[in-house]
Amino acid sequence: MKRKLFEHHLFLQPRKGARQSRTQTRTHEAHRPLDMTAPTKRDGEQVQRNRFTRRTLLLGASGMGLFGLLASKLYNLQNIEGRKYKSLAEDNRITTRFLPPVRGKIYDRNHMLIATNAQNLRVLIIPERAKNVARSLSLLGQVIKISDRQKRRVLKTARRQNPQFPILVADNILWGQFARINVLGERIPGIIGDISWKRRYELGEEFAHILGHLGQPSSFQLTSQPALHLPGALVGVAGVEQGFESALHGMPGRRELEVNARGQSQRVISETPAQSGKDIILTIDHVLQQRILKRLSPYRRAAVVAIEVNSGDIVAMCSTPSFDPNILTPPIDKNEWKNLLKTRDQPLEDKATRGQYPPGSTFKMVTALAGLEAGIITARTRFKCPGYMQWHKQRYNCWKHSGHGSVQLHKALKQSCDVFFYETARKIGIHRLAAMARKLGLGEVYDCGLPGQKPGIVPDPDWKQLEKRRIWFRGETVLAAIGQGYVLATPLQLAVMTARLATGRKILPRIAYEKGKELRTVAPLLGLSKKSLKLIHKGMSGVINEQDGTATGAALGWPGLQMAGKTGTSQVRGNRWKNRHGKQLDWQYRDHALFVAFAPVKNPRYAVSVIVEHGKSGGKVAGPVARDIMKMLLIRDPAHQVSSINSDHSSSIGSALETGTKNQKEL
Amino acid sequence: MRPRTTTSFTHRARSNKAQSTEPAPLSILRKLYRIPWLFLFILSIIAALGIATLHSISGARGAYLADQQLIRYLIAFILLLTCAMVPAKLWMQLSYPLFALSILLVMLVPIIGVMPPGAGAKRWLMIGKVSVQPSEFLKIALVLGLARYFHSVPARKISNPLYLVVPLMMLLLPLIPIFMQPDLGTALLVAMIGAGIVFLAGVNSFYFISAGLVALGALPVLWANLLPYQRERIFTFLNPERDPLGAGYHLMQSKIAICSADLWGKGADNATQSQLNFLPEKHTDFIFAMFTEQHGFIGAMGLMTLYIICFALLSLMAIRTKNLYGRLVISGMALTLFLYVFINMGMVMGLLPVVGVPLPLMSYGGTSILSIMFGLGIAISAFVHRK
Repeated sequence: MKRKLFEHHLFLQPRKGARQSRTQTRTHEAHRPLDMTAPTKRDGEQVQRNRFTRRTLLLGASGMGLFGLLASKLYNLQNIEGRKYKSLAEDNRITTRFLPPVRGKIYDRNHMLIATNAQNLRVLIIPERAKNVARSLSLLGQVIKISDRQKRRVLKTARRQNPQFPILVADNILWGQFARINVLGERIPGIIGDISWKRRYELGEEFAHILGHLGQPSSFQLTSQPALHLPGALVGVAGVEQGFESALHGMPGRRELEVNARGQSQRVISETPAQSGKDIILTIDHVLQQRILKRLSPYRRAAVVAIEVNSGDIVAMCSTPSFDPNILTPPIDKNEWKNLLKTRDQPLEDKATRGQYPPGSTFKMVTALAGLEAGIITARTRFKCPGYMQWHKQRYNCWKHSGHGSVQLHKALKQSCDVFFYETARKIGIHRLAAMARKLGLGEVYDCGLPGQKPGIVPDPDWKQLEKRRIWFRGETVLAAIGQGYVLATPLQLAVMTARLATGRKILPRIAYEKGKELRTVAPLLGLSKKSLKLIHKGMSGVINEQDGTATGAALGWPGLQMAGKTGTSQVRGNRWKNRHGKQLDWQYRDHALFVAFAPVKNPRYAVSVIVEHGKSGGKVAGPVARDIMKMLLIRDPAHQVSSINSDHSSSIGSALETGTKNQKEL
Repeated sequence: MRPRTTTSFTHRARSNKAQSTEPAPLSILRKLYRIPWLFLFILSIIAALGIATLHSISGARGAYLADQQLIRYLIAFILLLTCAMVPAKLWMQLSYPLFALSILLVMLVPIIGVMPPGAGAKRWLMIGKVSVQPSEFLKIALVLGLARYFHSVPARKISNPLYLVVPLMMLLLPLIPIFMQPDLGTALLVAMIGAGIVFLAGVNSFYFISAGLVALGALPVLWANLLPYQRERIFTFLNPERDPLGAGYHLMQSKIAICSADLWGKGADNATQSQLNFLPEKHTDFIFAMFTEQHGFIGAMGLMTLYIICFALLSLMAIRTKNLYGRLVISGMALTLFLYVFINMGMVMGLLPVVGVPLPLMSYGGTSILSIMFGLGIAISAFVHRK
């Protein structure tokens, strides 16, 4: 067959044959045009057919070759050119929108809602989609009112930031307007209506300093967390809101959107919903907080910290004057903000954690304990107090110019004899004194979710060299012994110190915890001898409960339930300024009144520190405040420790509670 | 019709086989049996893939397009079967009239044609409420007409230049209105289909080689005479990034779509690029980009393989067909299909300039699918009635 085919190729048909075949074809064509089985000439037909087959195969092969080209191009596109186009694809066509998480709520220890989120209807503009922001704004202006200032602000922001992040145009708009924007917004490029949440504080005044408030994220936060570029994205900037920011904030969700050439979203590709922030539970009792604030109302500037001595939970922490943190939640009303700044006594300042005061005589426990632990003094050690101590030609006065006579530790604490502690400190030296102060929690910032705490000062030669570039003078040790000189402490630190003194354990304060993480381990012992602690407790109890104590007015007055405490009157100005003209000093030069206390003496439950700025006398002013607060605390003690403490005095507890209630009513 | 006379003949008499099959027309069952069902099955798979891809377009639009396409494919499938049952003789009879009609329609386009919004050129004719694209029919009709012509040309005269005048005219006649439309893609496609059929018909290779050389020489001249938009297309083809929002836009977008897929693709739900309305033609000419994004390299290769099987089956069918008309129709359809697929894929991948060529059976569009299935129906008819 093949040979035959070959022959036909080589040997052309004679001319005649060709002619014949043509006529044949013609006839065939003319008469039998549809008879396809009729060949022109069988051999010619066969040649043609074979040639057809060859050419078909040839075309088929070249077709395959072309498909191979396509396949290689496809491979090339996806694997070599692919990288470039892939990034183009992700960049241009998909916009990621962050979904703001709902901030966690904050409850107090009774699970009363303190900080919550209120709905806020907003209008946003995305410059990338709007193309012409000014035009979009003017169009929007036909729907809702936009002031020129708002417009300018939006335009300014639009020039600055990444155009794909929305800018807040207006917020707190009404439902009707919001609905209109949602209907018409489609026609105004770049405009979107949005529901956000605004932080609301239910008991603003009471919790202002504890909770802090929300504010614009810092530039550092912005670079590390792109989701914070969301308009109105806020972070806690003070207090628990800041301290527990990571838990409260939650995880922003992501919505990947397809956008068309105009930047209008076409479809949601994927959506990872935002995870709401975790709820935070404060250790604060809002009832106590309210009552304490009320109790502090007669004083211009005061602060109170109450701690549960065993757990370190801060049950109450007040700083007066206070303010309404709702004012500080953006958008801030400028007038309200100005008023707040103008308010007397700086309500914004949290005196409980940021106010640093010379602890005065409340520091004397530290000196005493340091002496006891160092073995330099014992319960029987006696010093003579002639009203001053003479040391190296320098005279150090006792507060009581007539002197306390022969003084032992108990009396020294009870009557707050300065000379006793001067003498003690002189012997133990500043290093051991400072070490004891630090052991008791002074000079330290506690990691408890309360940012902005001031560390106070526990001075020693190293500190002085570092800070003041001066050498340490002996006299400064003596001054430090009575909590004057360089020593500074915050009310929170004083409360912690008192709690540590009360328990002998390394109590750390706690202000809040994430829901479900409330358990704590028992604080480790500080390694103080029980004997020394007992002596201190006895002395502190004497301050209140003994006739010649410095704060007899602070006695609880409940049979069988006693409070131990220590007064502190820290000088704002040196003695030589006092009573110079025989008249009362200006308010700001008066001494601070301090008081630290814990109760009950036998099995302590709460520690309290009180400072009334320029309150003149720790015993007369701060003491009674501490007493009242301690009563409130003991009455509201959830563990009802009151009854278990003095089970043999159950009848008296009843009356104690009654008195307490009565007292509270009086408050 | 004249009865068979003795004049026809000596070779007839020699051919016992031909004589034996001649008298009885094929029964319907026999015809059905002869229909290449495997081929139809593969066609249907391709069409189903196309419909699925259309369906993946987001929202109600995707479902609507898919439904429309399904209906059209079913109609086209019935049309194909009907055409396949019609005796090939009849098709041969109808070849010239159909060719004439299609040329008439193509010529009408510049006069009463419409340009739908979004389309770049006047390519549609409104018949009632249906818009049709005559140039799509023309490609089929051209195959029929040329096959019909070469069938009547004696085997040994096929390379005679005189006999080539007619097919050349048949080619040039429709090219004029197509150039006027203007539609460079279709013009090239028509020219290539015509040349292919002439080649398959057995015309001496010399013509093709010389024609190729002439074309090469004519390129500069052609370039000088190209319309600006045509030059623009070539420029952007050479460097799509030159104008990413204008001329190169489609290509860029389709490349992005293809490249953003990996080996297995992103799946219908995650194929983000093609779902974007960045690609206005994504459901028609650029459906391959969408398909590749969804099904990746593997999917694209699978689709290509399906098409290759189609061409292979058609080629086998053509080789097995005894008469020239049938052979040329079948192979012409195979060639048309191949050129469509190759040009479309090449254009989507940036291998070829962007010309409006749909992907057969995949692209959304009634005219395209109907004309292809119609042509394939005639091809199958030729195969069914191959003796």
